[in-house]
Amino acid sequence: MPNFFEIENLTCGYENKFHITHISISLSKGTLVGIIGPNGCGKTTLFRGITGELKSKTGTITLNGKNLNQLSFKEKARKLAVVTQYNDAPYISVEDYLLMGRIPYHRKYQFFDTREDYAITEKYMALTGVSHLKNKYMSRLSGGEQQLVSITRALVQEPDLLLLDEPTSHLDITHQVQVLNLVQQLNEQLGLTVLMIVHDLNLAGEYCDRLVLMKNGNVQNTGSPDEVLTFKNIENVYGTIVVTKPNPLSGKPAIFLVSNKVLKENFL
Amino acid sequence: MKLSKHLIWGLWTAGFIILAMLVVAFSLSKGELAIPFFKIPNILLNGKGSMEYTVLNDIRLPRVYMGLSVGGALSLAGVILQGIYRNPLVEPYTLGISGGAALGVALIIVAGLNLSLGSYMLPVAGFTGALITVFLVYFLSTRQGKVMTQNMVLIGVMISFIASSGMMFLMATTTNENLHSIIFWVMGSLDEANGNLITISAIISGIGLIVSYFFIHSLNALRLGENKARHLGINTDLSIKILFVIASLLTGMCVSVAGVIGFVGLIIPQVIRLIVGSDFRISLISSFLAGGSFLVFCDTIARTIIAPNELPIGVITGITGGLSFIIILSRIGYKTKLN
Repeated sequence: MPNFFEIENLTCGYENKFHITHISISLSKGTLVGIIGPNGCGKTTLFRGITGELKSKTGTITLNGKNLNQLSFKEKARKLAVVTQYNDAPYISVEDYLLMGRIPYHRKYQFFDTREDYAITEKYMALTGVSHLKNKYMSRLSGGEQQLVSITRALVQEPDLLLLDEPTSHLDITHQVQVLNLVQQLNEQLGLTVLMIVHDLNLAGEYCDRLVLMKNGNVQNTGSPDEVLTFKNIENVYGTIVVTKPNPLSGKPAIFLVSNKVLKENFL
Repeated sequence: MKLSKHLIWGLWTAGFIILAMLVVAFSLSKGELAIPFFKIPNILLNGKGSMEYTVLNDIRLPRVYMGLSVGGALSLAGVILQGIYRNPLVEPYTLGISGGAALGVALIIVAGLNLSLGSYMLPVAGFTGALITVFLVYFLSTRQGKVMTQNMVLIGVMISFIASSGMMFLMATTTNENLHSIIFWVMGSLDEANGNLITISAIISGIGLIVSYFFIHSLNALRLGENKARHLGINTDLSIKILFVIASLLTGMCVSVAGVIGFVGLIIPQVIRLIVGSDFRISLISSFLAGGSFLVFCDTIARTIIAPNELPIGVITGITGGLSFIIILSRIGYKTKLN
């Protein structure tokens, strides 16, 4: 019996170079999983392999019992919603932007947005707290607001799995926490399974149930934040010496960077 | 709340239909023989044999049909191309289509085939030239079945340059008489003597409008970029290919029957987006109607302003289109709207 979301032996990349090789990841329903690893280790390539933007050389990806490669574009968009890292916000009102999340559900020759489309959009706007932005234009929103709206659009797709590519990059700490609190809340309230690429190891440790640590296109470690975020693993993957210590409030692993000068003073 | 958006779309569509009707009435009544608006229906229905009837039916109506279908098709092609390339500066002629068509026509004129084989030869040559260019652009910018949309624009511009160099070569080496025919063709005109060609253009532009509506959600989703459109379940590669072919056929048709008429395909889609918004469900039909109206209006000016002589229609489209665009731009603020 395969797990809710299962990547088996996935190899894919650009042209003839393979950026990720023989990756297997297994997620159970309702987990919030973070993918971490240094720049260029294949995190985004993995995402592109999952969404099908990159054709996979080998391997299968199953979500809720369905092989993703066998689904049509439309069917896939109902199972899998993606929030990408880079947003060049179009001049479209928030409401119209969110309604586009219903495109995968449009009947073949449907032209107008239905009452149901509007109702679902309203529902998720209320849930994520962006209702007040409804009539504003995407390009006028702040980076944090845009990210919240993008996540709402993903919810409007009513997916089984939500993929987030560095949802907090370029945001200040207020908005980083706001976005990740929302992700956590959605994970708990809706039982939504989330797979997200996180750059900030502290945020990854604080928010995720499980972590996948990648290196050179392979999975190096998986497990709970406590198991993955050890100074040994981090030194091995990032080549950087750090100090880890539990967060005094949450007990989750927190990582401290240390300057060369201090390292020398302490260890030489 | 929810009805309002769809209701507004309905009102815009009705408004543009009324605008088109007004412009058509204006065009039919203006000319050396002035015919009052309100008499036109009566003359057309009952006035067979009168001079007014002949002027309307044989001279002005064909030009109105041409204006509506060519103007509509050009701006429809413009909206589609600006949509798939996400670039407001792309227009039907950017992709080298007009250059290819003009080169085809110039070749035929220089070879003298238009005289020996008949009047159909020029539009056929134009259309063939346009198609060859389209396929060149398409194959040169396709890699492993994927269309590299940004490359496509660059390749189109380059092919355009090559074609215009080829044409200049022909113009420099040919006889004065041929040179005159080439220039006359390139300047563009809605004066088309052949009734069949007029019918064919009207049918092609109508079909173009209908078929592009089948890809309306693809166009809308592509506003977010190809990746995000794909995440919304759009088969972007296929949609872009089909939309590109539609836009190319429309442009090829326009160039081959009316020559090179610039600005319509660039400016009308942008003005329409500023007015009705970026949702293609409303901007396609609006651009089509507005483009047709605009061209009929410009043609009326072109043939009346220095009567009995006629100005090339491109002069009028360039001046009126360019000026009104600058005015709208400075009034509304372009950046905020197009971004």
